[in-house]
Amino acid sequence: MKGTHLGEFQELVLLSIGVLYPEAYGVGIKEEIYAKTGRKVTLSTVHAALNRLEKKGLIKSELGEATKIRGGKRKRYLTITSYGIKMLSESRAQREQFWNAIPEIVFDVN
Amino acid sequence: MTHPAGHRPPKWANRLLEWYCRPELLEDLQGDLHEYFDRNVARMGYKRARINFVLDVFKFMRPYTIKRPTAIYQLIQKTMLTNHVKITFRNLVKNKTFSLINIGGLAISMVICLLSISFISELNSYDKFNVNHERIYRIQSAYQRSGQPVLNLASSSVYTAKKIKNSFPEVEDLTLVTYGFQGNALTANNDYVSLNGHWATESFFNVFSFDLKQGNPNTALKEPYSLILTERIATSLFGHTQAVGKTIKLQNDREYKVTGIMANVPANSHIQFEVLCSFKTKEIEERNNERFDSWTSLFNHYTYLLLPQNADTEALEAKLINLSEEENAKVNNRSIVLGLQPLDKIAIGTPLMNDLGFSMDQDVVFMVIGLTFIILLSACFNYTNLSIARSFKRTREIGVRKAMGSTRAQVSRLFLTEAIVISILALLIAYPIFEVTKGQVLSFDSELQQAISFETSPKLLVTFVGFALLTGLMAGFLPAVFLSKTKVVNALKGIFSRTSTTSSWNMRKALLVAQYTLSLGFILATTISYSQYKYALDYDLGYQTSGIVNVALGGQDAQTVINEFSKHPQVLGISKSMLTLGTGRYLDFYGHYQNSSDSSQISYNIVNENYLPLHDFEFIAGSNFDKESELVGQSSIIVNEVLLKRFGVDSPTEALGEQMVLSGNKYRIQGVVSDFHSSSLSDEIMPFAFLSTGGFPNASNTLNLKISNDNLTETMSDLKGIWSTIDKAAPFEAEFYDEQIKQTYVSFFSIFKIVSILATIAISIAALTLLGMAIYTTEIKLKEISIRKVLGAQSKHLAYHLSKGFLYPLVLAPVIAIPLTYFVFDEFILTGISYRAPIGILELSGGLAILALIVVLTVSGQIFKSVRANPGATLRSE
Repeated sequence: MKGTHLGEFQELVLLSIGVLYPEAYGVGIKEEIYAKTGRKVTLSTVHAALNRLEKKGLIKSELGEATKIRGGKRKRYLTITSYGIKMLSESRAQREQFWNAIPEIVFDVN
Repeated sequence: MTHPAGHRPPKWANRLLEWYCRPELLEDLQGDLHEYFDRNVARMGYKRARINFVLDVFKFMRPYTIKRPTAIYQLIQKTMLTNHVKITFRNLVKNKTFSLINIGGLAISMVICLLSISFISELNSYDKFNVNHERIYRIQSAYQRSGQPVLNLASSSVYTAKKIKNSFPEVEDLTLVTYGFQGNALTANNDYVSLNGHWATESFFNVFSFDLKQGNPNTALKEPYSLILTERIATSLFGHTQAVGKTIKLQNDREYKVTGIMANVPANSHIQFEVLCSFKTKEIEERNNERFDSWTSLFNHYTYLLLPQNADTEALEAKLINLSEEENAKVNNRSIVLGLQPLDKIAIGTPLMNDLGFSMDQDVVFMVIGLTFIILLSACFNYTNLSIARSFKRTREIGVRKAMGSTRAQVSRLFLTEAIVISILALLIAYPIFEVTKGQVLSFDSELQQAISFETSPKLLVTFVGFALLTGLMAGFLPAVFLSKTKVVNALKGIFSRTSTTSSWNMRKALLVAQYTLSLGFILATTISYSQYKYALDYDLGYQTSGIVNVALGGQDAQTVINEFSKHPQVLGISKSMLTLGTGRYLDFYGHYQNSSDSSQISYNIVNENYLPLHDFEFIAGSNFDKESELVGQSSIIVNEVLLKRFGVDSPTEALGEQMVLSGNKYRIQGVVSDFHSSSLSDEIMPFAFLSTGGFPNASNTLNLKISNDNLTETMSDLKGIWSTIDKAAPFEAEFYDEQIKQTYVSFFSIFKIVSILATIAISIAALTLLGMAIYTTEIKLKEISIRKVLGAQSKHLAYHLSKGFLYPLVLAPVIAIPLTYFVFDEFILTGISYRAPIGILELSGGLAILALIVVLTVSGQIFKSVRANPGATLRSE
């Protein structure tokens, strides 16, 4: 069920896009993931994930204004689509279900 | 671009990104990379940031980022290719001389390349017919006697094999091969056929995949006195191959039973044999020899292991080392360290002593690859040089193409296509030459001739074509880059920009220097290797070898043969010896002089009383051995000066009558001879002792016959006749001593032959380039020459003016070539040789003179032609 399932890393990327709204773009997302989770991911991994997410229709992108940094290149700003929001909340709901189903005693033991 | 403090990512990486990335993704991607780069500069410094940028550019190469060609683009490609090929052929026909020079030069070097490609691919195919070749390993032994260098042996002991079989459960299977099964079998027509092969344990066919046609692979080698024959031997013994169950009587009067018939051993197997005998036979024959399966008798047995898939070879090697340490503790003065050698690394690998079959040093293989590449490069230079030289004639064409909308890439493709077409044509010429010469090449070396067959397979042909394509790309690369640079406007106006012509002229000069250097290097290498060979042959060994024929006794009683031979009037003297000196072999043991704690390795030979006078050894003290018959039980030795020096004896007379202990036995020094070369010129002179055959009546296996120089061939055939009356089965094995010594240095001669061929080829290619350049230069300068002539220039000045471009690089070439060649020979080729021929001025300047002569001969014809041309005729045409 590759089309509907959200991978763990993709979910992270999607969440970061949400956090950074409305100025989410490649390098920003990479830094955000590093800041929140301490995971060092390469730029190309982030881009590959963005590419897949966009193909799935979970995010959309538009080019921003040219700035003086970045060698004069425009940024591609990303925002989550409503379908993306739906997928995120579904995934969250699934997790909640699992969390709620764990008996209290499990937490006591540890 | 606006990077802070002028810190920029590498330009080429940026370009690479722009080249491969899809346009719709490019801007964002590039922007991100640049931003990230700026951050990295701040975080980890400029250098690291640049490296990271390059890495990231490569990491971004993913299926979704890479451009896809459009349909229209592909269509254009196809049309242009047809056009390019057409133009190429037109150009080839138009400039016939240049085409011939180019194709010829490439073809010559390609022959060499084809030879070495097939040589290496054949070496690579060795032992691969074994289904499990990746899982088969051989036990190798690093053997060391205390105080001696380590000998790396391909063999191991029976003891080791048994130990591994019994206590190494991780080894799936194991077979032991013992070298040297020999016998003469009587055929149906009363001829003798000699059988050569090995003893092998019953699991031989589990480990190896030799094709057993008849017989049971699991039991054929189980019973004692079982034999497996190859089809070839079976046919020559019985006339057919239905021989299972028959018996063969060998000369030791034992009957052997044929239990299997196998296909002939493939040529690319490192184990070669005609018969296999069951190992049990060997065990029975050696049952009284307690040393047979001792830890240290490791010279004749080869252990092959079959390991399971993905076996942990490191753990196994560690276990082998443990085993070695345990066993070494039980013996004195020697140590053996076992190791694993993959089957795939036997044919090409590190050289081991007493290998069972053919093996090629991997360094030699690398050298072959290197030399081939150099030759190929030289031919590519030839092409590059001529193409660029000729380019001015094509600038208009390029200009027109570009004006019509051709891109730079398309123009480069035109030149690459041309180079590839020429290279394919060269292959078509080279291939038949390769087929004809391959047999000749193998005849250089008898060992190679047996090991390599040079069979042409379809796979090899495909490799050849692929190789030709690659060569074309290599040859066409520089012309493509240079010529596609041409600017449209300049080209159409007929202007060369100064920078591009001078830079291409400089590059051509550089290429010319490179070719001169190569040729000179090869010429020098030829002279050096030849003079080393001559030097070794003419070297005064310290004894006479001319007019001496060495006859192998092969088990016959020495006295009988001596009696028969000495009846011949041309035989002037006969002596007996154990070893033939000066042919690279030696025997040695340990011994000491008066001080028993000061032992040394001592080489020896066992000879009778005629030996030293017959070979003209020079006595400096004492006397020769007494007659053999009177010497029985006595133990005299004759030693050399180095031995005395080794034990600190100052004068030879002082040593006379003194006692020495050699290998545990006491001897009295009876004489001292002056130093001589006992092994080969590769080795230093060692302490040496002659022992008398009086003490070892059965030790000598060679007769040394001094024969007179008259009627040599007649004498030899007489001797052969006499021999055949004594020994009816074995052939007469006699060789001139001088020939044997020549054989010892045959490797120098092989190097000389190979290098001289390479030299010829390098020179021919360089000469072709020169010729092409000369034709071209004179053609362009024809008008200039005519005008100069009209204005009163003298022919000799004109000739100088034309030829200086070819002569200046000639000065530069020796400056590079001489030190380089000297270094290569000094460091790599002659390193192991103690006595070397000096490399003199004569060799060096001789090489230079040859090169200069070739340059002058090639260039002068063209120059004289243009200098002599009638200026009126050339100038009037305009």
